[in-house]
Amino acid sequence: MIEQLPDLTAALSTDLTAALSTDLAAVIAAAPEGAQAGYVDGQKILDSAAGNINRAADWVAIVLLLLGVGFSFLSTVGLLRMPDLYTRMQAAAKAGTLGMACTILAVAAHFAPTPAGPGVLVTTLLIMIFIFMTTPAASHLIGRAAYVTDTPLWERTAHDELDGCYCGATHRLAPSPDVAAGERFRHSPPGEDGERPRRTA
Amino acid sequence: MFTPAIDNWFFERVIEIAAIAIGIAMIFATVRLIRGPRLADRVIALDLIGALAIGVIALYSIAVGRPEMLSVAIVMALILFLGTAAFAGYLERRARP
Repeated sequence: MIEQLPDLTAALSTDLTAALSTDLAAVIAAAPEGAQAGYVDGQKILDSAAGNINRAADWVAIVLLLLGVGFSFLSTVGLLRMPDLYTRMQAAAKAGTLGMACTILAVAAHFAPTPAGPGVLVTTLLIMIFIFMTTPAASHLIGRAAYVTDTPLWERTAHDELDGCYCGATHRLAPSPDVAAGERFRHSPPGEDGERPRRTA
Repeated sequence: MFTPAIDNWFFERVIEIAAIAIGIAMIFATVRLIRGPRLADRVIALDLIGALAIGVIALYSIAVGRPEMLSVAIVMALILFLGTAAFAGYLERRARP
């Protein structure tokens, strides 16, 4: 084993020098069918061994990328067209999260056959975990703040479960209107863009 | 380090289409950011613009073939939540009598 080492290093060095001295165009022209091109330190080479794997990963990446960009686009359309802050928040949070997850996974699929694949996979999974943990919390915070600052609901909203439950004086949400006794806060009726909170004593 | 070049004609077109779609989406979100009747609308639009920026980073790292920019995406995913939470806190504090 140890005696073979000098031979190995010698063979490797000759291979390296041969590869470095070879004309890149000749390498590309002599490549077998189905080989995929790639870059090593900015130089274009061919990686025939990983050819088919690269191609499959590319198709997975294409599908994930189209899905992700489509969901992101639809989320912004919802943000622009929805009639109400709360519905806009729904569109931005849910579709935006799914779109980002698919786009990030497309990166992981694209780099999967390369040596950097596992590292990229860990990075993308971290991004996905952060987005999946933080986006619902952020939407909840914004929705709560919007309701507390008396943002109007859409005029065709069917039901407001928190109507009469929020006490503006103590800044407390009661589980039901009966519990919220004393000074009661009524949310402004749907459709009215009232600037000030309306309190009924 | 071997990074795959995109020599798939279809993949190149898909990346172009995705870049255009994300650009249009950014314009839509910016319209809501400018037009939003409430501060909360603007905060949501800003949050979505940040998420789209993460998508742009992902698209860039695919198109160029270098995954180093993804670290920036991690930082953005964390900072976005902090910004939104801070805005929500200020909004809620402003409503306090």
